[in-house]
Amino acid sequence: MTWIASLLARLRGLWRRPRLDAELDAELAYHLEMKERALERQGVPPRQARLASRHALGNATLWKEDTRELWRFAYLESLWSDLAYAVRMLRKDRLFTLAALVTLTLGIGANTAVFSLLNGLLWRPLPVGQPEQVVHLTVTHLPPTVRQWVNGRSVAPTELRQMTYFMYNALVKRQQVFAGMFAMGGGGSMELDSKGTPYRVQTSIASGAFFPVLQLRAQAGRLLTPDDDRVGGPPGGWNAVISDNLWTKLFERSPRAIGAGISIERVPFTVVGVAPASFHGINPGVDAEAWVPLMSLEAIYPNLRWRTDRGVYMTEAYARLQPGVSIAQARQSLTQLAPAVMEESEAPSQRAQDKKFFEAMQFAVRPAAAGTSGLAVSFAPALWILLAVVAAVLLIAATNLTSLFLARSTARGYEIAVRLSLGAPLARIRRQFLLESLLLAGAGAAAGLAGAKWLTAALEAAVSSGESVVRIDTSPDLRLFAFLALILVAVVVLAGLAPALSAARTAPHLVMRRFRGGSRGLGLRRGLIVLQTALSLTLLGGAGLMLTSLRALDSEPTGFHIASSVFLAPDLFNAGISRERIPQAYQSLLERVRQQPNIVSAAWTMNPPLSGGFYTMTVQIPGRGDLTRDERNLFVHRVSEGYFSTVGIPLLAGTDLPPAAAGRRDLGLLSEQAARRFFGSPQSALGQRVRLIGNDFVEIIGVVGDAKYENIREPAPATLYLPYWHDRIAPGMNLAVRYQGPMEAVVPEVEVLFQQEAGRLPYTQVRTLRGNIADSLGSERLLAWLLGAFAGFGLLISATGLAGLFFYLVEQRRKELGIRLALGSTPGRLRRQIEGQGLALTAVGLVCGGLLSYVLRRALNGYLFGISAADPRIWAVGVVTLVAAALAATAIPAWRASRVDPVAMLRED
Amino acid sequence: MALKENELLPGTLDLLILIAVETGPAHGYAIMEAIWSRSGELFRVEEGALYPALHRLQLKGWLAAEWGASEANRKAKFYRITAPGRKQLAGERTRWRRLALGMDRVLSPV
Repeated sequence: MTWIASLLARLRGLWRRPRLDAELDAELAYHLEMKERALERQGVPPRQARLASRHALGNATLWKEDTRELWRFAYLESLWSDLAYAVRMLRKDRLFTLAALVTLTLGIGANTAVFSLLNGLLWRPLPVGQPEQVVHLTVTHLPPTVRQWVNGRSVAPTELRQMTYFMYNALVKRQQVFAGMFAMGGGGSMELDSKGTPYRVQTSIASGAFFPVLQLRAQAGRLLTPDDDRVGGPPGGWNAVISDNLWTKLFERSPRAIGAGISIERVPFTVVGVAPASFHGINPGVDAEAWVPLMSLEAIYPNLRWRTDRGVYMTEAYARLQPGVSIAQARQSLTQLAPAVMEESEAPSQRAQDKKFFEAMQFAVRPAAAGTSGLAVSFAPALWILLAVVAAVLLIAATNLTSLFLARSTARGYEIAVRLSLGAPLARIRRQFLLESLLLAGAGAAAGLAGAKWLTAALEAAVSSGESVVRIDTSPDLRLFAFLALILVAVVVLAGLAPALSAARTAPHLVMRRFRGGSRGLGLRRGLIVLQTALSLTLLGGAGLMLTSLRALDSEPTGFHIASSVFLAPDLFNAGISRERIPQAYQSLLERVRQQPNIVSAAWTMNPPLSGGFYTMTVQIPGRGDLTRDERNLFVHRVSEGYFSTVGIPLLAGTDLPPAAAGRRDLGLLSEQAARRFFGSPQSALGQRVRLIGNDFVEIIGVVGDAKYENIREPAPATLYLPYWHDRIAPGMNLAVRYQGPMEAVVPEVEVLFQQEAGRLPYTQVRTLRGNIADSLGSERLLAWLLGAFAGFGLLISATGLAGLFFYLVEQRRKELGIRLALGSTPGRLRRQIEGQGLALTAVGLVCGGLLSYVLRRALNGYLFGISAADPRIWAVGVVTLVAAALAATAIPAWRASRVDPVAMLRED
Repeated sequence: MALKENELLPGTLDLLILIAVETGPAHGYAIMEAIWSRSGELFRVEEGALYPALHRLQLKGWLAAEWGASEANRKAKFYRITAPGRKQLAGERTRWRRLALGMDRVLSPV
């Protein structure tokens, strides 16, 4: 601890300097006096005694200065003057400073942006009490019959994020490792009505233990408790908690908000409190604005049978670990509990085989300190790739800076030599270089941090689509600053250390004599060029692959052959039409829309093209017992008559559905793929029967072309089209409209009809095929464009790096070149020789880049479409581009080399 | 013959100063005198070495200083040994004893 005391003493010394000096003088005066007296006692005359004592004291000024020095931060003071000097040097070299700043700002800004998104999505701890204790419980060891539709194919998932409400309850009852548990389910974008004004808000539906388990406190009013979460609602009606943002938007932060009435999906709620300002729910990327009790889900969606049906996996289970219980212990405890929990929650009438599989299911305990997010699953891989890309760009920028610094340190050889011969310590010269790179990197980081939020907003916009607006909390935190500090240290060390070390090797006498042949730092600079070329090739190749596959995706046939169609999903229920009246409303709207002059045709459809929405069902085909379960798994789509002509799906055989009025529920159409799989050909499918779950038979009256519904990169799913009135009619159908003239004119016309039907203008989601394609390719487009931009940027800076190196090389070798010319070499030969050296370096870089790309060849696989990562055309273009850039970068220095005048050169010394 | 500070082994001066103030606070001149007399007039510490050393030990926290009245009723700066200083002194003392013993054995004729 003595160093702390000494630091404090020094700090005091900083501003007590005058007093320190006075004390020192007083101490010396006393010393002199004592010495004089001693001498006098020995019989020396006073005058001589004074002289003798002064003499014995020696050079008092010098050692007073020594003492004083002890009390000050000599280091700090010289640091300050070095810093001032560094600023002066950087200002003198405007071009150098500007180039360095621009590259660093872009490099650091891009890294900060991507990192802060990853941070917000994956690592930022939730603003709740002891977030490290919060866990998410998932279901694993699933029966082989559980199917998920992934990439156009039915596959067996390994883990379910949701469980049944029965499993959750059995867990709550039996578990002994958690301090508390809560359940969530059914939340999403909903209509919230306050004082007659409708808003769309992200509503979170959570059981009563949600806020207590998360240990949150209301900033106004109170939060929800288990008492609010009762079947049928508490005696006074349903209660809700709103977010800080909604409090401002709806109530201007007035305390009167508490007790105010709102309605969510037409269910009345009383606002009882406001959540903490920092809390946005536990799903990063989704900004929750209102919280309602789990049981109110039954009032909001009466048709969902999540609480009563043992087969509905809709409950997300979370828990807080008891203090001292580790995740591993919790996992172990749940493993023992699982069989009992499953037995308690299984449906009574299961076949023996199903029963065995059901009881073998297990729970997994996943850390959820940072929340959980479906967005993280789909978006994080692209972000990781981007982080690698921007890190590579920053590496190129930093190595370029090293090159520039090295060149500058050589140019500053004279200055350094003078300083060294005047007695400057080596450490101080080194520090000078590190300071200069620190200044640059610091300024670049500050500018980059400021610019990062633009890139963050752009990235968020790119992955948002329609209603699912992505909002990731990217406010700076300790983790971000640690990352920035790491980048800064890396840049400073990369850019400043090499010149600092090489400067220290300056031999003053050689520099003073204008010795020029030194090749200090050249090997390193060549190495850096190789590294830059390698990274550039990898970036260029990646960008080429992404852009090519994006083009392939854009031109990939979707199965829909119509440009001028639009899809409108009116929220008729919230606009005032009761659930029972919705079927009639659909029918009357259809008739009225069809009479509009600009509308060619119209139809209702459950899933707009490429919207991602999906419902699958395993059907039975009489007489085809040989088909596997996966082969009989169909995408089931509900539409009205006129759908196929409205969206441009060709009718290959048979007829379209009859109008709803005909009341036929037992008819259906198959997609071409399904017809061929089950019956051999479209024609032979006509009149055949397909058996649905629940033993309903459907007669096939037509076969239509294949079309894609989930994602453009997947094969079109085998589809069964049913009339939308086949079963209970779901709210939230889309009206497909094929129009003529401008779309901007047609949409309001249809919305007016919606308003007339419902009595109020309903919230309507408007989508187009193009827009849906663009949305479904968000990640790909983002990666392609950013990779392209960064690859271009990387190419530019590595080319300038190469040019810089060769200017320097030519400058160094002027004398040698002059002699060569004098001895009979031709300018052309010199030029070719210099260019040859540039190409050789580039070639080594290309080989390294090829190896690097080979190592990384699988990184982009998930994003590529219609092209292989090893496609020779892409890499050939990358190689040619880099060779051309290398030739361009060395051409001017080589030309300058050939223009050396031997006579002038030899006269110079 | 008086040994000057730069002829001493490094660290010796610190030890000498700590010993000089071990029994009670003393001002700079008295410390110089004490080293001179306790070493049997062998070690003569120059002012140019003494005062920087005193301040250095103060910064290390081994000495504390305060202004007080001297024997001649003049204001003088007194240096007092601190607890870390005593600890340091005890360690140094043992180290030096062993060193001196070892050196003595080595230098003695066999």
